[in-house]
Amino acid sequence: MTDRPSDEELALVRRAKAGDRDAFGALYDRYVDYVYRYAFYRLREVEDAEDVTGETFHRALTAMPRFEARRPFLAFLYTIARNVVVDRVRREKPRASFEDAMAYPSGDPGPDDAAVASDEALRLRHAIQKLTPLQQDIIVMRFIEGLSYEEVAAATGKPASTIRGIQMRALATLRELLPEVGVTA
Amino acid sequence: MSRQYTDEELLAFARELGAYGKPVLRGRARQDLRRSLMTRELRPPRPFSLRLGWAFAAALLLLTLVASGGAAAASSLPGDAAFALKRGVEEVALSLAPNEVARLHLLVEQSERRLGELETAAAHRPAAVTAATSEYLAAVARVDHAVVVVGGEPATADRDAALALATAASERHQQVLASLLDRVPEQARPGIQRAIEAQRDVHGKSPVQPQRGPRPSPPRR
Repeated sequence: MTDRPSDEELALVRRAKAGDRDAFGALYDRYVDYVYRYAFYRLREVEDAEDVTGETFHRALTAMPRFEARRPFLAFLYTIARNVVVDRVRREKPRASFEDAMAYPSGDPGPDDAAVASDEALRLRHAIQKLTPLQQDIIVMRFIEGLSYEEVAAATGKPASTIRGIQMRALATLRELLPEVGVTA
Repeated sequence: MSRQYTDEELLAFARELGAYGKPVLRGRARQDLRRSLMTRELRPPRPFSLRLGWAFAAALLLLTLVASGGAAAASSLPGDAAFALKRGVEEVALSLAPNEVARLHLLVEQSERRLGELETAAAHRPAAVTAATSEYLAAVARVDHAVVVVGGEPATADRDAALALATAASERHQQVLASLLDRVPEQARPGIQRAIEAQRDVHGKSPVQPQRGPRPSPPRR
């Protein structure tokens, strides 16, 4: 990804802003997995990640007429997805602290999770969820999806310099949590 | 004790993460969501003349309400008969907001008003504290939702100013609520505690934080 949207994306966004549903569909096809992965790594259940993906795109569809076309569309989607995740985590706090602890006491994946994601992805998610919410955002956007500092800054509302500082602390924590990843061991 | 890693080691580790796992949305869920997006009906924006007509009607209603019982309503507390009038006027004002940023400004103002009523109830009318807390929580929930909506809009100076205002108000509200905890009847304390938590959520949700003034320089020796 680059900081500036490509001409092709700009054209799709302009058409989608004008109400062209096929153009919005093309943007959906292009970015749905990015949004899904963000939700997958931020939440505990596959169903929750699917719900967040759906709500994010429905909110984006509603907000399209107000979207500023020069901004990267993915950063716009991440901004919405972040808000939807925060809402969901807040609503589900009581369940997470009791029922989930009883169902999956070690943080192991549920049966649906195991069916749709690799062991590596599930281990990575388990480790990522031990980070602070902002560290989680940064790790997923920067290193799983490969966004630039500026794109992460646009999506999180934090300065790029802050993103740089936080990412190294997040990586150090994650490195301790995933000793089996074999680069430096 | 944990090992110290160099930046190069951590960035090499980060590159590994990129290839570690890229789950994708299940095929069925992907199709269902696409279909619902393609077929969802969006309400078309109302023509300007209709909006103008509604604004005129709302302004007329506002004037009538204020003239007929404004003074009593202004000083009413939740639970009072006149409080419904006060809320009615607020709803009319909200319906006149031209966009989500203006709406957020109004909702923050309303939450300030609810906080003032809660303080008044705590000081002078303990029986009204529970109703005042409920109204305050409802106002905070409206601010919370508006912060999410405005936070999802493209960054502009107006948007960022509104979000910073909401965050600054939230900080101040948390302090006032904490000071109220010792002054309300015991049965009202869980409600105040919930209000503090609700404000923490609002505070954590805004992507824009208020500007801080410069720190005072230390005194010279």
